[in-house]
Amino acid sequence: MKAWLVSILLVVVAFGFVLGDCRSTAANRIVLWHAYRGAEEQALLELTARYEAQTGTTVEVLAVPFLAYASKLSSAIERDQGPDVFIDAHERLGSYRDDGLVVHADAAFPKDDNERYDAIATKVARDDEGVAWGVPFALKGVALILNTSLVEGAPDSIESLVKSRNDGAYPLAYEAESAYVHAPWLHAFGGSMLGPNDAYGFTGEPARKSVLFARSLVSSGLVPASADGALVKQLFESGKAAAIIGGPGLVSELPKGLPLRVMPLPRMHAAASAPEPFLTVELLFLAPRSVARPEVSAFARFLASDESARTRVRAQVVANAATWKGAEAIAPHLRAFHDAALASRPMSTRTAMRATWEPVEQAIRSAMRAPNIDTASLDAILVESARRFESSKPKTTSASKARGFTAVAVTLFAAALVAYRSSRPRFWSGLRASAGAYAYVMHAAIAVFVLVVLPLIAGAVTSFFSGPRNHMTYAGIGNYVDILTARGGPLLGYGSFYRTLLVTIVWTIANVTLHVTIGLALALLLSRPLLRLRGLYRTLLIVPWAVPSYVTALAYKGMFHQQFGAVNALLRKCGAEPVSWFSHFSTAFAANVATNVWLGFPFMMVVILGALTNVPKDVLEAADVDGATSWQRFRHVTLPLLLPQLAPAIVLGAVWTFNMFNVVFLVSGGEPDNQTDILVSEAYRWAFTRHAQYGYAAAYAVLIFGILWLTSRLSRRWQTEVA
Amino acid sequence: MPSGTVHCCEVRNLEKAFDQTVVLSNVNLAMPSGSFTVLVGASGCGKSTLLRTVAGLESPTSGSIWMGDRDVTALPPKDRDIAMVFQSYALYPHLSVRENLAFGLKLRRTPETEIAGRVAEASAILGLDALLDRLPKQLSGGQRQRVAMGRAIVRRPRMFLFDEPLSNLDAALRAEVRVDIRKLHDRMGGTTLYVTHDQVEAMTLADTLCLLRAGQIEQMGPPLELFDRPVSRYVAEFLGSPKINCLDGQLVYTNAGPHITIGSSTLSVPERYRALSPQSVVVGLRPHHLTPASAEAPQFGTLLVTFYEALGFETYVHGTLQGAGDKALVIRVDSNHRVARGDAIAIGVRPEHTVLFDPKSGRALDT
Repeated sequence: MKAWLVSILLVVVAFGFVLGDCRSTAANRIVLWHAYRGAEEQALLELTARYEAQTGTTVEVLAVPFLAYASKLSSAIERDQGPDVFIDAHERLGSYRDDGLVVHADAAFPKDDNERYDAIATKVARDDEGVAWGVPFALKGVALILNTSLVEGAPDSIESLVKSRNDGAYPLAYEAESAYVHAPWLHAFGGSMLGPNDAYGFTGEPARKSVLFARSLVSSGLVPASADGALVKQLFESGKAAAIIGGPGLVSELPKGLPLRVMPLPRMHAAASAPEPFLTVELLFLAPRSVARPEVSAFARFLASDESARTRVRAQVVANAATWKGAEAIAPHLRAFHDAALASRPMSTRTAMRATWEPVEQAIRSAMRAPNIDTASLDAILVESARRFESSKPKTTSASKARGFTAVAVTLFAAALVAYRSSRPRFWSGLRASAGAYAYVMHAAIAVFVLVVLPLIAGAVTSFFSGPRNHMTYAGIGNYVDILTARGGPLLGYGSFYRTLLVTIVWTIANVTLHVTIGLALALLLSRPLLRLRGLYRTLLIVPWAVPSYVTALAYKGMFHQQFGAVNALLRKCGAEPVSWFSHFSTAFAANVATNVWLGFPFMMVVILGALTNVPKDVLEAADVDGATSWQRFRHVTLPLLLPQLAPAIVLGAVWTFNMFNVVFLVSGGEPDNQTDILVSEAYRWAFTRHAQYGYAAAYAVLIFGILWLTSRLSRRWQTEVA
Repeated sequence: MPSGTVHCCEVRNLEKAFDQTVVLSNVNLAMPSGSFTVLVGASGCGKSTLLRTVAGLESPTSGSIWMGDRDVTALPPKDRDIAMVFQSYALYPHLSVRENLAFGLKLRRTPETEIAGRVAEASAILGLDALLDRLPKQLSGGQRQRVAMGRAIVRRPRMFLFDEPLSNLDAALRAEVRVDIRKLHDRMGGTTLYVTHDQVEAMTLADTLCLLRAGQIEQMGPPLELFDRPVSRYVAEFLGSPKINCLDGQLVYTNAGPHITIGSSTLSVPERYRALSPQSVVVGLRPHHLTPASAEAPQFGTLLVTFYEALGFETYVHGTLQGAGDKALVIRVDSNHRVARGDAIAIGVRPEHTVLFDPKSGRALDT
């Protein structure tokens, strides 16, 4: 008993030390966060080491994965455990300022330093009043990357590049359906993705012309359709594309021997202005806890200094103007990226910018994939995309209305509770009676409470709030009302809850039916005692189950690619027309179902194989003697006897499929036009792409939970019936 | 085409092997219409396999099975016009008694009214009326057994097959159902093939008893013929309870004629063995034929009682034959005949009840 107490005490003390250590901010210690990898990270570490040697300051460098960067940053800074300085893209400044994650950087970037950096970077780092919110560090943008063995000289326009001959390779490959890479065309025609006052910018003449321009490139067959980043890179590496559009990161990933040349995007004959790609300026941001710590500003100045830039320029496009004028041996492609950056357009720092990507890409996809397009249909596409931008904005439910609904909800909840209590009169006394037993499973009960119950409650509570993170306001059941009234639109209109629910139900039924059918057929085959190599077949058939689902999903996505996928290659071999799988609901849905069936049938097969061993052999023989054909025997004897064990597996499979986020998100990604989204992937979009409406997404999650809970309650009756 | 009489079912030169193990060999069996044939034998003798081969649940390695004038060897069970009662009853667990009975008729698309009529008839015969809407798991063993029989008779097949149908019942019920089965057979008029390892069932039910030994027919015929004139020591020992006493003896000829000597005891030789030459023999004496010595059953030895079982209506006395070493012997006496351990009883037997076997081959010597 004593040993017990001592060990617990030791753990508590050790924990305390760790916590204390995390919280103490030593005077001479600076924490730096970044998301760099490779050469850029090396350069940064070299500089911090140099700084430590020169000043005796301790610099703690933490590389945080890019995808988790923003969320880790906000949660760490809120708990005062984050960095003093962090490197991040300037377009996040808007939300960081809103959330109070950054402070003025005037000490690190005094006005005297303005000339040191490229004018475009200085402009981005200072607000309209001239206050600095970060120190210019590096520039990130795209340029044209040419394979010099396929293209001679520098093309003087996009059109002439596309018309150049190059041994059967695509003259140009780029992510034609990405809004980011499409933006230069839009800018060249005088448009922008986000207009003044957060108005949607992908409208009118510029949007129309940019889409028609991109369409003409693809429909001429000179640019591959629906290429993603990986495909663009692969085409270029294998010499199947003479030129691509990409950034310095892409160049560093290309094989060393490839003869390259980088240049700013050439002008377009079709447009009056030059195509301006988006520019991201990486800034050194100062976190709130660096206030009144001059050594942090000094460190930031050191990192951004011209001297440091000479080290960093080996790996990145530094924002220091003088560095590029000097005679340092700078890689020519980095110099070209710098030239391209100076001709680029800094991305807006507004938070509304994030909500433009989805509708813009949707419009581009629709327009690019339509077999024919005229002014009217193009306008319809653009109007629809604008409508979606508007409808994804958080709605403000009026407080009085919300209060009324809340009262209703509370009443309903209380009524449900009373009903539940009265249906189980002995609930509390039963709980008290088994209190002793709970002592034995306390560890598990606590784990379940912390890991399952608490998040569930947190999620449910979140669903009563609206607005982005850190600015949530109480909305009562406003989110639910919004969702259940389809945001005022038609009940089965785009993005309505009911339409997604319908898709989800069809998705679940289709999958479970196929899972059970295929699983049953294979199990029946495998259970034949005379089958040779039974063990081998069984192992092979279980393999799809053993592979992580996202790996399978990505493999299937590749197989369904229109131009380069295995499925279309097979179709072509058989003389059939290739199918653009993700352009139509039916084919995209079929691709999703195929993937999920592949993932799901082994489970059913294993369950049924087990259940088959429980079907008495003599009962089957009795059926034979009674005159049953094989089918009758299966239908009237085997199947009814399998059902008691199959029923729970079917319910479980239905729940899994209902929530099968991986497949939908990774294979079709909701394409075309979010039509194949199911409820969970729709909820994900509300949380992470559409103005970050966590409350709205949480309400979706609660509704999904409610539907599944209700279904499982109903199915329990069915399960007892078949058993 | 078979020659001569057309039987309801005929098994010809049947062989069945599982991999290398021969389970049945050279089996020939003819079952006339309306006959009740019982297959009996020790466990593993192949009797169930033979039944299942007739049913079509197993296919023979060679040989053929005929039903009437049709060769059904290659036909599945459903085309053989048979019904079968399984040892485990094999009722469909998810169907009610009524549905179990109607199952085979429904598969054959029999009209609903006829199904109802036949189910009612079968349930009346078997006393299932109160149970029709229950599930098999709600029934007792005896009730399930009756449902299994009902399922067979509603079909009105040409042939009924029973695979140890009574082995899961308690003794009292077994005796009762045994009688019911025979009555049912007589009433339905079908041909029945019945497998059992129980000699009482075998003896009481059969018209023709077929005793199998290691996959071959050892002896076939009316039950009493097998009991009284076994072709081998194996048959003699298999039938009858308590088991037949088998004693080593010598057939000798003296001045007084042929005798059998067992140790110092002497038995006279029945008429049918008089042609035999002097030799070693195994003497088979059924316990119920051994009685206290009397005029009809002259004394041949003295039994020293070591143990007895009084069953109330008769008593089995175990002991050793005096002057014959420690030869154990069982005799049956009337229950009013008081015996005690250590008693010496003079025992006798009617000469015609003695059977002799060859000690080496075990075959009967009266052929």
